[in-house]
Amino acid sequence: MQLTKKNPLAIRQALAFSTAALLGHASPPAHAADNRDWEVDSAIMFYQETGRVSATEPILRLRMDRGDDHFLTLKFVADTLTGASPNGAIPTSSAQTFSGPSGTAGYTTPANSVPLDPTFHDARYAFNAEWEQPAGSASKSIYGVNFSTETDYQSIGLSATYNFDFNQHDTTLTTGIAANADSVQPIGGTPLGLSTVVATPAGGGKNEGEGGGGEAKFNINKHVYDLLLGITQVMSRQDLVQFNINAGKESGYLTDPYKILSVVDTNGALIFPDPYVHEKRPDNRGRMAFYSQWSHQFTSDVLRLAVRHYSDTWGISSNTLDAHYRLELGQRQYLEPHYRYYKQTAADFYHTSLRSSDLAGLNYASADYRLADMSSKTLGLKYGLLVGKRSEVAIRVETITQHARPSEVIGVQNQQILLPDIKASIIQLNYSTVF
Amino acid sequence: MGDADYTLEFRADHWVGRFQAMASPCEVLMDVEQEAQARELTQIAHAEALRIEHKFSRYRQDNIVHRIHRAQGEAVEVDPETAALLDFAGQCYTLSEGLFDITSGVLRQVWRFDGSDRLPTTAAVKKILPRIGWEKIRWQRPRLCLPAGMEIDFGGIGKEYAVDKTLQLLRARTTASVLVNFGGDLVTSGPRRHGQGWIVGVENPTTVVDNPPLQSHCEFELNQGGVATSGDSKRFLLKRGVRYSHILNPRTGWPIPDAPRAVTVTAATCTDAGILATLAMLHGKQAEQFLQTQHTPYWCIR
Repeated sequence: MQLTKKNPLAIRQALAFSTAALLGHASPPAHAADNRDWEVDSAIMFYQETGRVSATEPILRLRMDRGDDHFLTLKFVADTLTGASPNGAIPTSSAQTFSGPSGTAGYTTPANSVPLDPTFHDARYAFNAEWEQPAGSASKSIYGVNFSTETDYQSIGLSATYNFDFNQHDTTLTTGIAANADSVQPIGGTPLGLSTVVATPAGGGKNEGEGGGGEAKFNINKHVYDLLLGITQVMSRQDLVQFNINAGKESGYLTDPYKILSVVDTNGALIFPDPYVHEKRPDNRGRMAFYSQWSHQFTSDVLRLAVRHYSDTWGISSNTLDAHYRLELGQRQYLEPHYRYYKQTAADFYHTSLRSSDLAGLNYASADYRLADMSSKTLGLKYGLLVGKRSEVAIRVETITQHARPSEVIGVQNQQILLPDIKASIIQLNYSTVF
Repeated sequence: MGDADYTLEFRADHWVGRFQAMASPCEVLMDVEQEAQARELTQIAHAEALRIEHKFSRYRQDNIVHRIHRAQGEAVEVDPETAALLDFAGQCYTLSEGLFDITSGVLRQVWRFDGSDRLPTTAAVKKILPRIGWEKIRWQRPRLCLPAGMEIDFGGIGKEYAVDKTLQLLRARTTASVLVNFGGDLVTSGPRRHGQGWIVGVENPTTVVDNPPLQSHCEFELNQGGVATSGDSKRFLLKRGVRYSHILNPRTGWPIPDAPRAVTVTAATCTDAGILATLAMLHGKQAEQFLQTQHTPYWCIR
């Protein structure tokens, strides 16, 4: 060893000198964090379904370092929805007229078109606060509250998460619980499930009890409980895997008060004079989701693959494949392609339309296409640019194609495209910085 | 931080505060009477250990080390404390003629010292070498420029540094004798009330492997200064009877041949003791020879 060529004692003296310089440096007070950063993420997202609903969503997130590994995170989201949304009725060979949800203005859907409710617009504001603090040297707890409000819907929730690191921080166990209490005040009252939709005379309707036998205040609360159990494991310096199990239970009013179903005869044509009924969903829903994710870092690029399996007591079972690849372009730019494939089976009570003869024997029914047998594909690309030392701007563009299959095509319905594919696009602009 | 994160116990004639930090059991021995005072000193030590761990751990995403690694070749301005450690690391690099190198941590990507016989391939080790070398770093206070793909790791000095820093804080609070021990690396402020030192045990690596409850190799009385151990009692690879120590030569990427299993050194500070112990390991076969020239008590276990 070359070390011995030197005068070894000189090493000890030189070292003592260096150490004195090192330790002479005053230690900052233990309770003043060395850099109390504020992280700011801001984004605006535009979502547009071709010919249907569009949304504009500004998001602001602040993460404040309160010292000693205590963090406060605040998040604000505002959603503005406008446009038309399917009301659940099927397209037919003649024009259809519907009463508005508030009984004010009705609307008419032309022949051979999917009935869309054009009165669909709302603003939603959501606020979320999280407090993160260490719980011992290897674990931390996170407590959260959230509120959201829109014209006919309010939600309040609490959550608690506990992360425990072990195995030299290579393994993290996560457990979490969350509870939400929601309340719904359907505009025009809460319709009685599976009751006939009463046509509104021009000029407006009643304030409450819209629809035959409608009920003003019926079970309009909703409770949601979630349990999370997860493990994250560092496999190597390049690989990280994560498994989560999420069990949830929803109870209360889970029906969409504005969605209806078409009632048809044996030949698939609308029955008259009352061809529509309000939808009705069960008061309970239990669900389970299994999620696993693998991240791999190449020299600088990162691949993230995730699969998720979901099933619930409504009969919906779904699988998702999600892949992101972050391609580093030099040191200040990156491109991130995104691919997602989603497939689900229909809920047991999903009916594209209802035979009038079946109506009496049904407990639940919905024609909401989101409960249908369907699949969707997402293709996206994100571009990010580092600005200065600690800021980043990014733009994300995605297209989503959703293909749903009717539960049954009855008689003359084969002349219609009952559930046309839905195409949507997302553009999101991001700016994040630390100061 | 809740009070439950440390424990306090009165043992015969002194207080012992215990907590977990830097993946090690930590303790503070205090030659004081009052429980309140012992509690305060333990809290200070605990907070300082966690502060240094959080600030310099390579496992965290919210500290200076992560910021340096994330900079991908861009210059990062560092705070005075980090600057002092970088200066110190640079001096150790020079003193050791390149064998003590805080950029050699990337070798962990191929070397996993888990007691098995899985050696990396020569090619795999060779591939890592271009990403090692303190001389490739541009360091000019307060700016550090670390080439992309390289890493720095304060693991080789962080614990000893934390021990000495903690003692400094405790000294500002009490004139009583205290001993700070973070996972076997320790320092004391001076002799105890009745003029005696603290009794310190030196761990024997062979008994650690065969018999998990630690058995002390020997005990001695520490009156002043620091003690640190460099060793591979639990971290080694064994193939065809050859034991590969976790002390790697940053120039070759391979373990130093014929390194002792463990070296324990006493010196004026814990940091000094730690570096001397590491330098001794880096001397391989000549470890004892090096230590003898240092005129300081040591234990070298082969």
